[in-house]
Amino acid sequence: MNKEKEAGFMRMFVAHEPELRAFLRTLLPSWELVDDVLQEASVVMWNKLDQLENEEGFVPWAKVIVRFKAMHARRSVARDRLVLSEETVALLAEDTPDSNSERIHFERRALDSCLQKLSLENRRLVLMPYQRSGALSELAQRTNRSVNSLYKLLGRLREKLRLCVEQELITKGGES
Amino acid sequence: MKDEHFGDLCNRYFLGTISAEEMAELDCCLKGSQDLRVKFAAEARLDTNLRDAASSFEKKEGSEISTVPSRRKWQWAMGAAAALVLIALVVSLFYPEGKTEHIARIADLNGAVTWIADGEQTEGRLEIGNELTGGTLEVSSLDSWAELVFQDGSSVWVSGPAVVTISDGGAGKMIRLREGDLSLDVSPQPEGKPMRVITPSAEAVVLGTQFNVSASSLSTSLTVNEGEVQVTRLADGSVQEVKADHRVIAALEHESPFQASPRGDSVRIWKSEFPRDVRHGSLGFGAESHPNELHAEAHLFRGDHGETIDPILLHTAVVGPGGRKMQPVLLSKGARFRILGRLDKSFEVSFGFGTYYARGGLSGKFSTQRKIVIEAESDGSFEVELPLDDFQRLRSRFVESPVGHELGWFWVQTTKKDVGLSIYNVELLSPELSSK
Repeated sequence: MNKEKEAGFMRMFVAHEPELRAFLRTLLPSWELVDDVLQEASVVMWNKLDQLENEEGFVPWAKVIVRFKAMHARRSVARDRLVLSEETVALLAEDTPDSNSERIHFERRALDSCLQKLSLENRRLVLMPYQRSGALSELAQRTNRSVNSLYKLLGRLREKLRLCVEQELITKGGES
Repeated sequence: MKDEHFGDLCNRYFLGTISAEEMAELDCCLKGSQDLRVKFAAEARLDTNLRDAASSFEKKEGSEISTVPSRRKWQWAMGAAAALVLIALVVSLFYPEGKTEHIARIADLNGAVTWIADGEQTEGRLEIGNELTGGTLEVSSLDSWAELVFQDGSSVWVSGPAVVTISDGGAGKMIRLREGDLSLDVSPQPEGKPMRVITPSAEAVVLGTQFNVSASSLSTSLTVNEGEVQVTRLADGSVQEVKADHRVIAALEHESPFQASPRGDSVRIWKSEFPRDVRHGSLGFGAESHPNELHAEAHLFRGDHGETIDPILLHTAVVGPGGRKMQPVLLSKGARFRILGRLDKSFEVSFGFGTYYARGGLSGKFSTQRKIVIEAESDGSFEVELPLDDFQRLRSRFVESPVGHELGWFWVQTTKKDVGLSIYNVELLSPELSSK
């Protein structure tokens, strides 16, 4: 077993995992699918690592594998859940730049800063959808509010965060 | 569409509360606008970062946001690490460092065939019976071929010109065909370890079957004779199950149809059409009477097996029955080929073709030569008719006669000098049609 090869793969994969995850999120309708597809794709990447010519080519190469896996996954769930059309998913994949890791890194840091500007209650609400399923409904019951009104508030908070992140990137973008 | 409404649709999509009507609307918006697709991708990045932030938030503030998703993520990371360790363990157990595993042997070969083993930088000459590790086989000329047999008895005919890389590791056998023709007879593969055949435009997953593959840099034609092959078109990831007696063509551009279709009954006449039937050469615009012509392309012949010769310049054009609806072309007794083309001057020209068993693998290669005479004041056009009987098999192990076999491809070639060889078309005439 080539330990250098294994270490190299892990280094590249971990470094670009957020980008691959974001790319998959663009193509797939749920986080469950994203997780499953990325896991399958990582095994394919490992098995096909010999095809990778150099580290610079890792992200485009990995995205090709991830994209095919995503197309398969999309097709397999298309009968029983709402998904974007295959044509649209293909267009979204084509529009994605070859490498986006730096941008995602900056946006992640900007998001931390923006989240601090929210009240603790709103911060919890905006992060709640990533909690266990049904958490929003439970919150609605506890606070005597409708789920719909919580989703509307959530939508507004996400929009606020998106604008804040954009602003942060303009004012602080690229600072280390 | 107003930004606000689009943002609302995106939120509903990423929060999983979108309705069927809203999904249709979102799909329509994304399809029609690159700007909106860019915004959608930004929303996906925000969703990704929010999910990551949820995990950090939990650790920092001890909130109730604990998190099936983040657990999943860590489960995934641990799972991936465990999988890698397991892979490393299995690979190190079965493939200790320094040990060279032979995965196939050369059962037959002819002509210019070279081998570069993985990790080596020099070409090696091959002999029948040579054991091979993983590596790349180059079959350089039209009258060259090689037959590889894997340890499990699966055989692969490689017909030149072709470049093929083979491996057989933990995930199963892999054959990467950059260009050329393969005929495969695949033994049943272990469960979970199918053979994969990868070309520039398609990937085939094979459990055990007989099929033929023809690949160029732009498209791949795959014909299944026995069993079933799953083919993925790499341009868009779409998949076709190709059953026995069916074929499929996967082009690199994904506008053309990708649909397995029955091969249908065989036909006994055929006329080439460009670009459909081009296998090798460059297409150009010809005279008014021949709007498309296929220019022969130059390549070097470095000598047959065992020979060391100065490279010889060849110019070759290859055509073959292609197209999604093309039925098998059967060669019948008394049939003739008619070739229309152009040369700058009178020259000796080599003609040849490859055949398959009816619904089977490669059965032979046949060739003949003709001196083509071009009149001094003419435009260089020529027409020649060649009876099947004039073609000689290139090796004794091939079938004696091509009659009753399927036409695979047809080549036209000149040697040493560039005499402007072009092909207007190649036609297979039935015995009933008399010669001019």
